[in-house]
Amino acid sequence: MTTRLRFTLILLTAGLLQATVLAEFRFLGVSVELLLLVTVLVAFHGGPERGAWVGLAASLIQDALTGAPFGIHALIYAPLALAVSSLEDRTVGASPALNGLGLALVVASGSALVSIAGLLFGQIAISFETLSERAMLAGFLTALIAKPVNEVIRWSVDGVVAGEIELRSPQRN
Amino acid sequence: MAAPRPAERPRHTLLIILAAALTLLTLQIRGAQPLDAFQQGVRDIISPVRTLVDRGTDPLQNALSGIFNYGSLEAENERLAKELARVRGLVLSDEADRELLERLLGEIDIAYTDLDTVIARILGTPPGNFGTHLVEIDKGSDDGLREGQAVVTGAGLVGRLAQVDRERSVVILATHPDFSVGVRLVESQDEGLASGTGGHELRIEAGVRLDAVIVLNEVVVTAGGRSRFPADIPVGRVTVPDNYAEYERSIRVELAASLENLSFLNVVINNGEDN
Repeated sequence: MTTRLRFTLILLTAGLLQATVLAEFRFLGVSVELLLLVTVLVAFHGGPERGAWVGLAASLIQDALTGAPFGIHALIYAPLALAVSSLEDRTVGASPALNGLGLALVVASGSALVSIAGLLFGQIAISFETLSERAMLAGFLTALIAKPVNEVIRWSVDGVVAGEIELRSPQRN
Repeated sequence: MAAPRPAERPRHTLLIILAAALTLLTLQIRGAQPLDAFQQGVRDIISPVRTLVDRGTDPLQNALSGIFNYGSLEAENERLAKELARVRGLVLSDEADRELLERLLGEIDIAYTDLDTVIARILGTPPGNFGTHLVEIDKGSDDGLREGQAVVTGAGLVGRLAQVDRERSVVILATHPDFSVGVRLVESQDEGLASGTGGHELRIEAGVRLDAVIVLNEVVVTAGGRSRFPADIPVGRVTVPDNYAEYERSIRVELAASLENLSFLNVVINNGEDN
């Protein structure tokens, strides 16, 4: 299976889950930001170029599902993917808890920035207090489901399942 | 072992993506129909799956709600029991008042209760975390709904339809800052434009004369006329009349309909012309 096909499959599945199951189970009115999580993880594991393109696709799906004007999520998702991809080398050796906290902060920032973009373009109405509360909650909820999604994204980027051992035949002279 | 990454041209890619995003955004904000139709098509395709998941997850959601909101459910039950007892006591006096009410409604030509409506169930908020002051209902264009139609409850105006798909619609609540409605103050007979504030109330900032005397708790109804809403739908009561304004009045109105804990809504499918 090619990388593009894997990304397409993951994006469509994530969009469907975002619109169905995750829309049903909300905590204090806030749902998990699965498509943003996919963008962040692809950028982290796959680099800025892939992250930006997957971010564009994820944001267009998000726009279609939420009824937001096309492009408003892309204004945030793509630059965020670029920013996240530069973190990969710096987080080598970081504990899982620290990675989770970082992920929660990135998702919270992305969610807050999308809302701010919506405010600037007159598409939503929300106070900054509510916005920050919702963003932080979205970041926390999204971090809770990050581990299994992370494994799927690593498979989609590298084409190998985590834990799979790559066998090499010994070099013979 | 990680697969080799493609050649990185992140800055150029980012510029292209941002330019595309801004172009799409501009087109859609300026009302490009194909983009709206495409979005609506995507939502229509997903809608049956959403309905299926909605029905499938209802028992689990109810169970979770019962666990996490047990205290508030108990309080709500107690409140409803008291309310039921009070309403039963009022039924007899209501019988006597009904005749008087009908006579009064006839005198001031209010046809609010005669409007043709479609009853819709609230499904929740639209997917994602983008919108606020929005609710999703289970009726759409297949049921005769169109964008802009008024949404009411028995207590009064709730909002209007902002987005109508085939099987679902999104209601923009009256408290949303983008919501505005022409209103009439029943006692002073002044008319103005009321808008949502993003909080729990509406504000009338345009139309009402500076020297008009507005009383506290004065009833506010929709003005009708050229408005998209039928006339005389109750909107709320004045909480801050702002009678001493020197330049521009800012009258605050508390909504008659409670927007908390809504389950069902009525969408007004005609604007009372047939009545």
